[in-house]
Amino acid sequence: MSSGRIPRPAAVAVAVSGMLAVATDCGSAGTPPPEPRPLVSDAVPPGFPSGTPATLAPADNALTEARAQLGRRLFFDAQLSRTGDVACATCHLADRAFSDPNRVSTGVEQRTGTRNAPALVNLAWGVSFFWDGRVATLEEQAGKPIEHPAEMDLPLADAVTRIAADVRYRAAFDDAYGGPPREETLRKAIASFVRVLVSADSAYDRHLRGDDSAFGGPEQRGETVFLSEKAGCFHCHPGGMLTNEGFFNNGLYVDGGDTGRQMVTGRTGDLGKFKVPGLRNVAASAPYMHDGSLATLEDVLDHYERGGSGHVATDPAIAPLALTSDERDDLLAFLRALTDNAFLTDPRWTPPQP
Amino acid sequence: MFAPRRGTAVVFGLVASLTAGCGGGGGGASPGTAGSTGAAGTAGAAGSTGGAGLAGTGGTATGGAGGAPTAASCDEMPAPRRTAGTILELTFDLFHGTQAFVYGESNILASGPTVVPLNFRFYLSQLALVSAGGATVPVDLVTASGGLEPYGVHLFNAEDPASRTLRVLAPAGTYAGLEIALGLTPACNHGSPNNRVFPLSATSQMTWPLPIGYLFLRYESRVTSSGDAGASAAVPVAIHMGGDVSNLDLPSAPVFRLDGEVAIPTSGPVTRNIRVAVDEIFKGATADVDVSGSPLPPSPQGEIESGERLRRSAPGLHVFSFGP
Repeated sequence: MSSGRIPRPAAVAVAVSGMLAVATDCGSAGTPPPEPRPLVSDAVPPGFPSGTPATLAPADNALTEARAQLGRRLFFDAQLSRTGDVACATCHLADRAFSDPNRVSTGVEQRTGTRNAPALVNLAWGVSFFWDGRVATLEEQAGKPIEHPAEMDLPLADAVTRIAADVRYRAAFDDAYGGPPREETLRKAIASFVRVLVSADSAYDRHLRGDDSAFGGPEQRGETVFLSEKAGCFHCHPGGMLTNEGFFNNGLYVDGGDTGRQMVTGRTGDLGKFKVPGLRNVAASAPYMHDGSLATLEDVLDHYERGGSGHVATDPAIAPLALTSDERDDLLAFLRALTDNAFLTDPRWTPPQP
Repeated sequence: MFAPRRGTAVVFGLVASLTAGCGGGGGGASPGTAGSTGAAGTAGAAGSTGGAGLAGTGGTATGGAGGAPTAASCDEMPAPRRTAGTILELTFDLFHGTQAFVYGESNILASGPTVVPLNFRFYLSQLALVSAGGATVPVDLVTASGGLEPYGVHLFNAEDPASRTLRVLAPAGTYAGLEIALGLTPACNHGSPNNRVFPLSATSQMTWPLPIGYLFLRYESRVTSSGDAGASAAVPVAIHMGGDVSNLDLPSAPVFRLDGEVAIPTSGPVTRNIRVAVDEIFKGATADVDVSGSPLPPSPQGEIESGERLRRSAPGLHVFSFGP
C-alpha cells in the first residue's frame, strides 16, 4: 500500500488547515471570503441526458443542500470505519475524479480488496452501481463500503452510534432529515453528496456547446475515431454520459479471476462481465479496468487493439483493431479532452469546515 | 370462448401499413386521436376512427401504401388515445424452434451449435388490435401503474425480466389479431438520445452515433460450433438491426401481424403470451440478401450486415406468434 498517496485523516487535516489559511488571508485584507457555491444546482448540464441531480433523486430522498452538505461531511469522516482511519474519501480522491490511484484499494488494517475503486462522476444519471451492478440506487450503495470487511468494516448501527454522539451531526441530521441519525438517513445523506458530483466542463463538453477553443484537430479526429465502427468505442460509451450502463466481458484476462456480474445473476453468460464506466475525466482516473490492471490509457488502447487477452467469455465485439498510429494518437487526444479540470479542483469537494 | 390459434403469425409489411390505420387513405384522424375511443362489443365495432386505409387488407402489405407516418412527433408523453379500457398484458418468451431460448445460458440448438446469448433486446411500438374486418385499433402502451409508456415505446431486454411484459390499454371487444412493430417510428428514430429518457436514452444500449438512428434489435452471443460448418453459418454471433439508414424519414420498422382471437373483457387485466421465434430472427439475419448497397459501414463481426439482412427479409418471417 502506498499510504502516502492516500489522504488519510492527517493529510485531510492539512488540506483543511490550508483552506482556512486562505480564508483567513482573504479576511485580513478586508474582503469577506466568497460564499462557497452550493452543492445543489438547478442547472441542466448541456449535452447531458435529461434531468438534474435534483430531479433524478428518488422521491424519498429529495436532494437538498442540507442533505448534500451532511453527506459531504460524512464522506470525509474516518469515524465511519472501525479503526477510525479510513473514510470514503480515502479511496475516492477528488483530484482523481474520486477514484483510487492504487490498483486495488486498501481498507482498515491494510486489508486490500480485489477491485479498483471506481470514479464517482455523474452518478446521478447511473442506473446501477459497483463494478458488478449489484445495487440499483446510490442510497443502497452508500452503506456497502462502510460495512465491507476489506474496506471500512463497521456495522452501520455502530456508525450511527458514533455519529449520534456528535452534537453537530445530530443538528445536521435534524436539519436534513428531521430526526436523529439513523442507518437509512446516513446512507441517504452520503448518496446525496455523491449525487451532486457533476462533471460537465471538459474540453469535450465545451465542444458540444460549440466552443472548440480547446478541442482542436487531434481531438476532433479522435472523436471521429471514437465514433467509428473501426474502433467501436461508442458501442459501450455512447454520447451523453459516455457509458451505456451495460455489462460486458472485455477479455481482460485469459482465465480465472473475478467472475464479475455472474456473482450477481448466476448466469453462465455473465462470466467476467463488468459495468461500463463513464469516461469523463478518464485521464485522471488511472489505473483502469475493474482490477486496476492497466496503468495507463496507452495500456487500455493496447488491450483493445489486440482484441483482449482471450478469455473464453470475451464479448464478440472485442476483436483486434487496426488503428493507424495517427488514429491512436488522435484517440488518446480525445480521451484526454474529457478531463474537466474545474471538477478535479473544485473546492467544494473538500471536508467542510468544522 | 377465447381460442387462440397457434403459430399463425404473418408478417405483412412495413410500418406504413400500420400508419394507414391511423390516418391512411387521406381521410383518417390525426395521429394523436387515431383509434377507437372505447368501443365495446365485437371487434368489428371497435374499429379505428382512421382505419379506412387499412380496412380489409387481410394481412397483406398493401393496405398501408401512401399512409402518413404514424406519429409526426415523438413525444415523451404522447396524448392518450383513450382514458378507459382494459389492460392487456402481453408476455414475451424466447424460443428457438420448440426449445425455450434461455438468456445468458447455454442453449444447445437442434442443429448442433451451442449459443449463449449475451445481449438481446428490441423495441416494440405501434401496437394495434385488428378487427375481424381487418381494421386496426391502435392502443396505448402503458406501464404497470397505468401511466403511458414514454414515447409509446417498449424495450424488451432479455436481461430484465420485468421488460418481458408489455401492457396496452385496450377497448373491450373480440379481435382477430394484433399488430406490432419491431422498431421505432421515423419520428422516434430521429433525434438525440441525450435529450430523451428511457427507453430512448443511451442506457437503452440501442443507440448509434447520430444521424443513423437507433438500433431496432440488438443481439450478441457466444457460439460454439458443433463442427458442422453449415449449421454454424446459420447461427449469427451478433445482429444489429436498425431502420432504413438511406432515408430515416421512411417508415422502416417491420410490422408483424399475429393472427388469433384476442378477447378483451370489460375488466381485466387479461394476459396473452407471445412467442418470439429466435430461429426466424436467425433465418432472416443469415438470409441470402444482397446488402452491398447499404450505406451502413461494414462491421467487425458482420452484425450490421446481419441486421440489414434481417430487416430486409422480415416480410417473410414469422417472428411473433401467440403462445398457449
